[in-house]
Amino acid sequence: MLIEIKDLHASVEGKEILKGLNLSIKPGEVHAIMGPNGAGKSTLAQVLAGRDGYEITSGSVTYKGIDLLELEPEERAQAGVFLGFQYPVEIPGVNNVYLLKAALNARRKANDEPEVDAVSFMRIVKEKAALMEMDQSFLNRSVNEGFSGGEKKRNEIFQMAILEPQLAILDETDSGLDIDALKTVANGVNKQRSEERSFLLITHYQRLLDYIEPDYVHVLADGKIIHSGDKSLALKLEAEGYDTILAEAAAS
Amino acid sequence: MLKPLLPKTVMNKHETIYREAQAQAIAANGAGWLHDTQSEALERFLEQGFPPAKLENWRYTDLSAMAVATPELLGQSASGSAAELPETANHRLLFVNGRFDATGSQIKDLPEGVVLGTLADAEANSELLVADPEAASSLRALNTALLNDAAIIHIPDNTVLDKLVHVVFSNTAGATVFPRLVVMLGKNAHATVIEHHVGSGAAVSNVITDIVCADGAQLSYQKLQEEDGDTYHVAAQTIRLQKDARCDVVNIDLGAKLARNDLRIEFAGSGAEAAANGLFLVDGERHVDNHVHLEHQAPHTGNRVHYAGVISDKARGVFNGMIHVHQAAQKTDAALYNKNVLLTKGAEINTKPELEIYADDVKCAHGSTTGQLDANSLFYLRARGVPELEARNMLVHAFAIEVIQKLASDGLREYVQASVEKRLSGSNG
Repeated sequence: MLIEIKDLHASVEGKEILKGLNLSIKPGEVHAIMGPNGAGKSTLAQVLAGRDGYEITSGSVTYKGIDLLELEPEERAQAGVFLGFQYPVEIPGVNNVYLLKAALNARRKANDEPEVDAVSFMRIVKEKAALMEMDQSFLNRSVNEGFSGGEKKRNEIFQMAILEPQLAILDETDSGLDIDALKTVANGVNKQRSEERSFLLITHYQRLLDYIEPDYVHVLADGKIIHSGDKSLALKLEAEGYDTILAEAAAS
Repeated sequence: MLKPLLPKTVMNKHETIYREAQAQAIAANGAGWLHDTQSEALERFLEQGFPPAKLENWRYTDLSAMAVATPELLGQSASGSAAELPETANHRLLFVNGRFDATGSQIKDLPEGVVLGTLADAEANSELLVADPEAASSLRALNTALLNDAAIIHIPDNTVLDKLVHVVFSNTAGATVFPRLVVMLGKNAHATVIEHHVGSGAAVSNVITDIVCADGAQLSYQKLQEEDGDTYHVAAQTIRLQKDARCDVVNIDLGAKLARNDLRIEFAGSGAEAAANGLFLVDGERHVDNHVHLEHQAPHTGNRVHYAGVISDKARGVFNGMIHVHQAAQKTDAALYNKNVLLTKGAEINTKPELEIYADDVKCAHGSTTGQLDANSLFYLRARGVPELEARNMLVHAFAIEVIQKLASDGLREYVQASVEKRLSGSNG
């Protein structure tokens, strides 16, 4: 297993959001988590990335055999966990390339690898920027500053392509994208699928899964995974809505 | 009469020290025409003492410790050697512990009529040097009383000085210095002047800078203060702008135990413009106070003021900005902002932007904001693998960059960035 989430309970300001979530992902697998608004999808992403303000009341998350919840956010990233933000933050004054280099070197340092040299780094950056159809001028701007919604999401996948994580958690990466941007983002993700790399796609709509084919689809409702299946489950959800599944789960 | 900062009995004890120091300064500076002015200034200082905390202008900055340290250090001689300076492509005037250092200075290929020199090069009875403005603080009187040299920069009419002028005031441990910088730009003259204070070891530095820009002159004036962490640094800059003159000020405070800047810009001629960008980085138990006073006396004048403060640990920052628009100064376009970031709980800022407007057709804006580093940005950077301390430094740097970008050359920007980074990695835990 790459990651194993067991009976995870998490609260925000005393309100329980995750209520016993179980999920295991093997290397190379793509899992999609779907669910109605307020089910806890984004909370799961934030908890896995280590954001402050979430209290883990019980359960465990084991990543590559270690207790993920014990790690600082940067340690998780350095260990290969990547969160693609639902709302990427604009950071005026921090240059895109500068951030990428700091992030890449932090990861390499954690793995006892030497810092990347300037020439190789720029080669990687240019190659991945081309993959994401990003204009070079973009690179020397401040992080996400003045980017459109689509550009921000493309930038997330671009960062992922450079950092080469083992587990990529993409939180509503499809939201706010027009069809062309969605295809570019999906293409970026598909090019990075490999035997070693796993994805956790968090989405409200089935649309993304037309372009990124998942191995498993899970339905998250009221803080738990109530149903799991293959990609056909997404189509069923799209056709019937969440109500049917929720009712079935309640009846069983 | 306000209660003096030090009791009369203490001042009486100090008097002998100040008189002795003046005798030495006068013997050293050789400017006979200045000596009467210096004697009068000393009497004024002895009467007034250091500015008392009861004065509104000094409400948040207590000079008691400096008032004690100044005569103490005056009685000693400075020790240690000054920092080595690299070769430079610029013009450089170096003053070590208040005295001109010809070996460390570099001046060559000056356009005709340009003066980059010392008190010996000043015109006798130079108006700026003999002036003792009535409203000036007693600190100015002390500087005048004890100055033993001065940096004199004079750019004649219609002359452009391409290379920047780097004026370095370098102090070693125990120095008590009274640097004086005089910059005069003739009509349509252009120049860039960097006033740079560096130090190693506790010192007292009391600086006066007087700048006059004649009609159409353009000056870039940048002050960089990197004194030792045990140094008291008080400075006042007066910039007078004639018709259509322009001055771009950058004021960066990175060092000193206590630093105070009084920047006063007088828009004396119509169409005069100025921009002032400030950055102060205060940590430990340090104290930095910036007062900016804009006097709009003529119509169609404009300014843009932006000061950024970064305060951490138990440090304290003070910002006081005043736009004063005289009745004659119609069509003034002025804006003054101060924004601060407090990095830790004990850090403190007292900020007060003010307007005083007597003209009816003007555009004036002012404001200040104080906050912490943005938690969302911090998490975003950490989620990319950047360690917390480095992420915090990146955000502080992003906050400061707006001011750093205003510096006059790439070399200067790199130098200040490196200096800022060095200071950030030493604190900000």
